[in-house]
Amino acid sequence: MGLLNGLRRVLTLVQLSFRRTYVRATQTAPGRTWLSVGGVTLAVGLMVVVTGIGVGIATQSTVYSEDVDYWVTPETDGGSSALVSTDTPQFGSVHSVTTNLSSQESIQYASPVLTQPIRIKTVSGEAENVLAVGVVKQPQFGEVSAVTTAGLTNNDPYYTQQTWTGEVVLSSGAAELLSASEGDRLKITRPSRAAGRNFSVTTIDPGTQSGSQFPVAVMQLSELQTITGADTNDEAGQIVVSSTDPDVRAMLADLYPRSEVSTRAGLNAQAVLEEQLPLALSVTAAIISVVIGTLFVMTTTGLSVAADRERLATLAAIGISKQTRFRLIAVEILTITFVGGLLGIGLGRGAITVANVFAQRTITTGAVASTEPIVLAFGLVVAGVIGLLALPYLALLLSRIGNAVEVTR
Amino acid sequence: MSPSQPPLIKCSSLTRSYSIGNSDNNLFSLGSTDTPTVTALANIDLTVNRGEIIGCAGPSGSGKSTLLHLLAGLDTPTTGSVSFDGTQLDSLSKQARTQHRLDHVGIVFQHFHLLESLSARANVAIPLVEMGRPKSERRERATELLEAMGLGDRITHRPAQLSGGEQQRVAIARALVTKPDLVVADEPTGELDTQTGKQVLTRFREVARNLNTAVVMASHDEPTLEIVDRLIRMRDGQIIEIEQLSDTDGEQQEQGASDRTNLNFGEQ
Repeated sequence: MGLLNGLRRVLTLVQLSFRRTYVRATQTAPGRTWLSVGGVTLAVGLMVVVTGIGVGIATQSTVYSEDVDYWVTPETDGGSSALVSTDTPQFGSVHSVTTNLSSQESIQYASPVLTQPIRIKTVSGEAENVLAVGVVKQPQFGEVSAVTTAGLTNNDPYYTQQTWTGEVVLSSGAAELLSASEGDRLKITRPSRAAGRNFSVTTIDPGTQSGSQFPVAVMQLSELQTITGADTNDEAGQIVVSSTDPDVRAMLADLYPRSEVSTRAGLNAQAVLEEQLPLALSVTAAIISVVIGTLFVMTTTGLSVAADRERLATLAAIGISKQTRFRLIAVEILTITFVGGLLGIGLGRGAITVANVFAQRTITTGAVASTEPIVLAFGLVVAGVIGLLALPYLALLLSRIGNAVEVTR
Repeated sequence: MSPSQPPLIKCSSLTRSYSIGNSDNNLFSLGSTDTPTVTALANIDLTVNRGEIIGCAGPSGSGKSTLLHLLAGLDTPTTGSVSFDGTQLDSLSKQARTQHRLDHVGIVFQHFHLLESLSARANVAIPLVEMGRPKSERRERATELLEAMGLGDRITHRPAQLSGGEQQRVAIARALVTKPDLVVADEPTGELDTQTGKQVLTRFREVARNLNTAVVMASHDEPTLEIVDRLIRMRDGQIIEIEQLSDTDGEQQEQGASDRTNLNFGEQ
């Protein structure tokens, strides 16, 4: 019975406090209440934006920026960068494997990626070393190694129809190095097997991506295989698979023995830097938000309690316990921080959208900040922390303000 | 009241002194740590019976409010004791005194001190929330009391929508909702006009008569004190005179008879 009474008392108090908070926010003390809500909103909004940018950085890749979810690579104990993995074990029969993968509904596209250093020159220029990247171009496969694949014919015609295209897409760095422009004929001087093969520049990447300054030449996979001798076993060093289905990962792991499946971040050449930077950003943003939000809530709580000290003293005088008085205001604080947290998430979400639009129009082609649900949920967690941190201060205030004896003064 | 019943409250040698300044802040004290003290109440002996209305009269600083607070258990005496129905209030912890006030004491203040965000009914029902009473009972008792106070059409109004007299009647209803043994009222008519003040005093008379509750009120206002059974005149923290105005429910009760409402709270 005592437990039932206690439970009923707490539930009633929560209801009473909700009603009190609502009336204060709409009628009796809207200024002070919304000042508290606004403080939390700003703090959480700021945190959501900064964390969104941090997560955005963490999920970008210098190898491939968007929509590539998995990379299948041979199991090695070496570095994980796709840019430098030219001397590792290779996968065989990659065309048929990726054709099978692409035919699955849960996979948007799959392409082998063969990377080999080659020496290349224009007709009139000096020969330079560049990194050749061979892929099977598909409509949704728009970019590799920060270089566009636009300009390559789809589905690797030399493999399927024995039609040599000689198409080469140069990164802005490679084009500058070779002094090449679109339409120029190219000659590959090494490997020597390329002798007699025609190549020409179909596209030069505009160079808006981070990493596009590296000398990279993207070409048809089977043509690169042919000039490097990798066509014997239809080899490639990696397989890139785009899918939004998390179950694909397990299936990819069984594709080849002794292979590894990584997500973008796992293959990032700057993984260490880029995993720590957003973490540092998020932690810093969270700490600042908690401090700012807590100070806001503490200040307005202090003002509110001071303004209500006579009523609190009256409650104490008529027999309302300190715990009940604490709960009455604590629920109000937690309600305010929850509402502030929700509004802050909305504010942060809006600010991220604005930041992404602005960034895409000025400095990059992709989104710079993420709106992953976990980022938004993190905002609510921070709001909760702000509310909880303000509670000890409330307890301290109530031990000094609003005691029954004050009605005697 | 019944003469055969033991007194509800018995005060013995009640003294309350206050230190002026913060004697606890020794960190910054220089020289003597002695602080001057003021004696608000000195050596008071008093009994309060059930169903009796006691008035405290005297100028400001005479100790009226201090006496009320000691009787209600809001404060504890420096020396002496307050026995409330056999319980020594001065030996109770702060928490226990809070519970004692909830269970046995109703308090009415000059400035009402209602919670502005809550309706009249919710304000009246607050002590019942603390007691863990079910919602239906809280609503029923609060509504019944407000109707008895003539506020049946003001139940859902918030304090800001009520006049001073109506707010004071809400405060009285809040003080009575727990069926207390003692009601203390500090200047209950101080903010009210004459007519409204009379209505409020009538309610106190009904409370004492119908619920056998002791009522102790402090006031500067002589007409307010005309309804009491016993009048204590105070000065400089001491009782200088006790006037017995009525042994039973006498003339004052009859004055309020025409305006009486039922305050039995459903009891027979």
